[in-house]
Amino acid sequence: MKATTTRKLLAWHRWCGLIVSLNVALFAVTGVLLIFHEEIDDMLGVLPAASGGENKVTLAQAIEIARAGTPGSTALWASRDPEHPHLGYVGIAPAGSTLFADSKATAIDLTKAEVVKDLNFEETFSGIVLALHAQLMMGPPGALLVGVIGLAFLFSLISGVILYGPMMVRFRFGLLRKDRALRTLMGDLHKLLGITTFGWNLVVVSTGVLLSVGSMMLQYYAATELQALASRHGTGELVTDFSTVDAAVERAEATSDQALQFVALPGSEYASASHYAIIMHGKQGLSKRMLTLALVDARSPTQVEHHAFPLYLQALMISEPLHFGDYGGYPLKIVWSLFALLSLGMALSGVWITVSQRKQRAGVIEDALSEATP
Amino acid sequence: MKTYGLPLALWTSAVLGLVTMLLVESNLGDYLGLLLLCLPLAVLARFGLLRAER
Repeated sequence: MKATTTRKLLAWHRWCGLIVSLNVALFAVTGVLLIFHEEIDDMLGVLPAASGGENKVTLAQAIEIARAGTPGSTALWASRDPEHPHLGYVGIAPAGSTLFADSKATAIDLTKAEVVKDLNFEETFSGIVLALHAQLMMGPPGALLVGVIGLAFLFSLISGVILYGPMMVRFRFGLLRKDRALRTLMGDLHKLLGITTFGWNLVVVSTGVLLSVGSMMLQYYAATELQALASRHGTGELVTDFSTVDAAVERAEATSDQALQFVALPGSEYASASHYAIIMHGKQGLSKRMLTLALVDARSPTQVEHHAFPLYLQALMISEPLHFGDYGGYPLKIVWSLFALLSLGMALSGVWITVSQRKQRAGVIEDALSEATP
Repeated sequence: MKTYGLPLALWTSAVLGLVTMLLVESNLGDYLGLLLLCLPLAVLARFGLLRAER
């Protein structure tokens, strides 16, 4: 590589790194908190403990309970909590809205047949940390900004790897010159942390970029393929009575080796006017993460059509576990946190080097000016 | 290529570790995946953070 190309690439690497570094630090800290969000939620007692009784209400009754709690509202989706079987969730939106983004999850205690009071997921500690991590507290536009920051970070990572070769060609791997100036040591540490964590960073950052445009991909799917699937059955009159939802879910589960993830109710953006769109997941391993779609007629829930999602949505689904590292229990969570903290060290050491270099340069110019002044 | 030899092995190891744990549905898959994923951290500790070298 030519010296001028190396210098240009180094300048781009520094500027890109400087711009994204504080965000990377934020993503690393909030990411570690999110890795342990289940444990934090349990510690803070976010979800009510199970009372021990059997579930009294069906999904259809849970929807009615949630609707009754907020009169004049629309129910857009419903689900059961696989980790807490005594809880169900219903997405409630203002009347007339079809958008999932407008909905708020209402938790229903299925053993007590009542709404869990004072539970707003967006206001819990994990909810706030997630909003900060995924959207910088700016809503959907924030997710796009996170995507752009992710792309800049990817550029910074790749340019760093390209620069590593010419810079380290004379040195052995793992060089840390502790007897030199602090800036030299920080430079060595930055290079060592960056080159060692590159594989992990590449996976986590690229999946993060994909997740940042996830809602747009879902909306595209709803407007194209899902629309086409639904229109094959005619538009139909809007179904507002969801009493058949349990039969529909039962039928979808019986005709496949899968379980309910959530059901988009008729009239919502991800279902037709007269069909339930039941999103299902496998029971173990990778299939647990790979969702499929079952379309069930809400008026006569005996007819089920199973559909696979397109490749771009499958890529989105596989991105989630690879980004959050939540598929290997505690050992993986701990390794994930270590990588995140090392990446934090890489980002902060990069900022330190750039700032100290600029300070030194400013000092040299100042000295030269004072010497030149008579 | 000599400069990139060890880093390349570490990146491959980390990515293989991540994917193995996700794809191989068994305890063996989890152990193997974790081992591969931990390799960069082990090398980092051995070469860098524990030993200064010229």
